[in-house]
Amino acid sequence: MTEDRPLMVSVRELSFSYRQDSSAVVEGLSFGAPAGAVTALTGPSGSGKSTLLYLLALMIRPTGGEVIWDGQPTGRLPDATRSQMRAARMGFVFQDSLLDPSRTVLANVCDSGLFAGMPHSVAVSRAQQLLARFGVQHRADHRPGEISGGQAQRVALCRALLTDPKVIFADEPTGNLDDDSAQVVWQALADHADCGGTVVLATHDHGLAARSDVEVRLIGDGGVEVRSANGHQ
Amino acid sequence: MATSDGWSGTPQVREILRDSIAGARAQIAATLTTALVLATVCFTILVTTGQSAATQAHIIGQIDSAGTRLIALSDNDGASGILSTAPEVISGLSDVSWAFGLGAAIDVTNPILPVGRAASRVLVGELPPELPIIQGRAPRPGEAVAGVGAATALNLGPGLGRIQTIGQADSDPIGVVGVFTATGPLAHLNDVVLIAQAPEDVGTLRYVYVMAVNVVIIDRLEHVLTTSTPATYPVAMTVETPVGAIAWRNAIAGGLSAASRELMALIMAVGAALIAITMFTATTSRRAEFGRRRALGATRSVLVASLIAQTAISATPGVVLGIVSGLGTLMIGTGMVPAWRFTAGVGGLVLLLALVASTPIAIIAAHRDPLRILRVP
Repeated sequence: MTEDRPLMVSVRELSFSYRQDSSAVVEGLSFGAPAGAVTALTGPSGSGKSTLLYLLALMIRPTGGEVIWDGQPTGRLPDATRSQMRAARMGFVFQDSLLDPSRTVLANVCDSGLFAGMPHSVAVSRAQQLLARFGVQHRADHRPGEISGGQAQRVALCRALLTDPKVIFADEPTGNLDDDSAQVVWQALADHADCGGTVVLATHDHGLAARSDVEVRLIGDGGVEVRSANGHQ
Repeated sequence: MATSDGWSGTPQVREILRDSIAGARAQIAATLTTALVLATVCFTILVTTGQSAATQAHIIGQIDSAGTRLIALSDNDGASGILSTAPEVISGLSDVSWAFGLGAAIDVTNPILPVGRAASRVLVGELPPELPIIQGRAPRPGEAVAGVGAATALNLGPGLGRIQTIGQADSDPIGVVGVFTATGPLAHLNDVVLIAQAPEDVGTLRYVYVMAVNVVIIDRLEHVLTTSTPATYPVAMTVETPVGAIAWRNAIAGGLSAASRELMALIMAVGAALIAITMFTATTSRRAEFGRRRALGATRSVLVASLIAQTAISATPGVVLGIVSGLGTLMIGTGMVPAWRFTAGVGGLVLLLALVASTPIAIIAAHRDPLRILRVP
């Protein structure tokens, strides 16, 4: 049961609006993403899924309420500390992979290790293992423009997993993928949760949401519904 | 808040440098553009301002060689009694390149062909580089060298000859072993025969010529010479400094420097604008990279440091290329190159300019909202 698991990241009375005079994207939101579980943020386009994801990832500051990491509030943390937390404790998978087109696949995977303070040799070794795990090791020396979208997203997964993060944030991770590639991505995220990690993903894919342990459904005007399941499949 | 695992969340400087080098190589177009712009700025400065600086140094060098550094101590009527040890004492001063002394004038003739005459003076000290021997050799004590005018007046042939004091037919003739030529403020010595003597064999001197190491210390050296030249009655000695020539030199140097400064300021302003535009363009085209890296945990300071490091990596070969090509062009075109300090200064300044121009752009880039890049509509 997800209720029994400790909350890795949670929000309390969270509010956010992009401008002072605009309506809130989220308002008075409280929920938690448990360790060892996949939490899906769902809702229609423009409901604030990605914004909520980036609030949880400490990339933007809430206009009200608090984001709590490992039981500790983060509101007063300076930007540098928030960045260091992202580097050392979080992994990211973006919708369109967001790989650096000028660097090789291997260099892209090693990118996250650089900011975590990981020595280059260690980063290269781990990156090669991950590329092999996801079946793209033969593309290590290629540029992102030379690989398929599915392969690119696997490379993005490798980058997210390089530092063995506590939490992986994924923004529409299967949005542009065929079914096979989407399954690989989902399985990787589910495996991370099975190993005790936390996964938070923003998605409009109902199938993905249904397979998640927790679904936080944004229903517009700051409203939210939270569904808890018995576990991902 | 502590971070998990063994990772500090703080990148190592060595790894940032490695990443910057890899980034400069990966973005080869931006790197080459930056390098070429800086090479062009360096080249332009060197072939314009650098040429001016080289010309200025050449002109000032010529002016200085013409006598702005020469000080003459004179005792026309022998009242001061400048001791023959004075040249040796003065030569020992740190501000002095060389010094030599001349005794009173005595008319001499060629005893073999006594139709001409010339003045002779005792020489104490080494013949300076400004009086080069053009025939024969430098004199040893007891030997003489003649200025080109004196050699002609005394009918000294290619094998040279001897001189003898007029009116002292029983005196020993002195061998003339060489001919020298003099220019500038020492040109009057062309009509004189100089008879080398050891200081202990000479009574007093009428003139001591002193060459300062540079024009800046002339005033100080004049004071030192006035107070410390060995003489029986120093106050009777006259110290002549090239005041007019120094003023003339400084006026020319000032005018040339002002012109060079204005030209350099103009080129640097245009160069700075070019560099800033190049940096802005290169940085703007990498907004997605900065957004992604911010998401991956790069702090703003790491992003700024990385960008500045990449600028330095791109700029350094450009500066070197600009300097080498600029110096080569100057060497081939004019045969003159500016002083190494000027060249190094230009290189350092252009490099600094690139770093300064890229810093605010890097700071702005590091503060951009990464969500604009990361959010997909």
